[in-house]
Amino acid sequence: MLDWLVRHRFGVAVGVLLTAPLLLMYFHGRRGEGVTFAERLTVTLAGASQALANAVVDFGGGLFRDYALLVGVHEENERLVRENERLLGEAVQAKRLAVEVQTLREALGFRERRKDLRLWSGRVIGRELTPYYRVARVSVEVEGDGEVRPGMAVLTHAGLVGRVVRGVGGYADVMLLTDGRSRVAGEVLGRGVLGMAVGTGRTDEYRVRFQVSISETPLEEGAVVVTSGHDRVFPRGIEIGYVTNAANRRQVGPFVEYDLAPAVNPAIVEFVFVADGGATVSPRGGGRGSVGGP
Amino acid sequence: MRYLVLAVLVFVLFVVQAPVVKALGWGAASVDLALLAVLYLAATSPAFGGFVTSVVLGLIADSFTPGGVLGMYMEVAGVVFLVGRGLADRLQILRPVPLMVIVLVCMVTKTLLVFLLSIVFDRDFTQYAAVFVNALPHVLTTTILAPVFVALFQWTDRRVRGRRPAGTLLR
Repeated sequence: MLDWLVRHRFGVAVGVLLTAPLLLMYFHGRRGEGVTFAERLTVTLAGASQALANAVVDFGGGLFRDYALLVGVHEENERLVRENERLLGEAVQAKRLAVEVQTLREALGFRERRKDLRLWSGRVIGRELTPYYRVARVSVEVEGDGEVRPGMAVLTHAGLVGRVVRGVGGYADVMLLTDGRSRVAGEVLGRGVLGMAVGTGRTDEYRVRFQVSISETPLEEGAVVVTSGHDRVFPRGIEIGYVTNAANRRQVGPFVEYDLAPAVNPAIVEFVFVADGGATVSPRGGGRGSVGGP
Repeated sequence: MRYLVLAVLVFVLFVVQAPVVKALGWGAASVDLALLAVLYLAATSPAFGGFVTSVVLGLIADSFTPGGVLGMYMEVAGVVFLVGRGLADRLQILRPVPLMVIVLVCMVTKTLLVFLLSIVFDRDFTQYAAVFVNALPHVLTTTILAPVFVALFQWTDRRVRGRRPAGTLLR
């Protein structure tokens, strides 16, 4: 028997070793019946060794990538720095454009809403600063062929800026609301309380006083004050500002004074409208218009 | 001894292959190391030892086949050994060009065998087309790199036995 096995060992091996895998496949092909010992053994052995190899290859690859494969990194870094600078510049430009577009969109919306006004577009071309770095006066250039005359209202979509005090052709100097000489007839929005917005003339802050009759009921914090149009200089309904610190109201003669924060910050205003309320704008070189004043 | 060394070498190559292929980003383009080793054994070994070692190599391949049915590559390795042995009697199958041709034929045969055995024994087997689609890069990579790995087996064999096997590739 042993001799026969030795003589025919190849045939026996082929028979056994080709049949055994078939039996293995038959038993292991039925999924969902648990993991056999043979499967667990082979998978554990292969998995553990492969995990070790993965760790070694990852470590070696990391070393190679992070320390050896640095050809061209300097040039790449310089290129990325330049690209970063360019992109930062573009981002700033895009942000500036977005703000400008938003401003122009709002200005256009204002113009559409206030078709009752004759408006000329203008751009701030100069600012005069106080020693405390507050804007005391601005210069504007009016686009188109309008001729600017003293007394005309200067405003933005956000509110009133001031009035023209000197106009030469398409250029004008603008006295701000906060100027000590500025007077604007105003009313509290939704309340019908009339009064006068008077510039404080302070050089260290943008502040306006709003004077109302002592007989009026006290105003609340945040009350919005708009132009009333009674001065025949400023068109009605343009926001002047809002009441701040209402509790700090003061009695001055027959009036009560409130502090107003202007609706428009003159330091950041870029585009303005020049409107004729009591004053008029005439085509440049054309007929003269009347100029109203407080 | 050489059978053990060859089996260990194939095991190590299997272990190393997956992370290296992943690191190089070659995806499915792995080499069928067991089949190359079986063909090498068929060309250089006595029938009995070579056949038993081939089945063991099939078991190693089974271990590194996630989701496969245990025994499938053992069966395939046994069949490929017999086919390779029949061809080795008639051809110098360790020469590069014949080797690549035979590897290509054996890879196709192996893919068909895997497909048939999966149908018969794997009750969850449904990815019929995937077997052939996934096999394509595997077959091509194995065929192209076959001379390199067979040369590695020969070099290892020389180290173990101290002499060149017959029909060497690097003659």
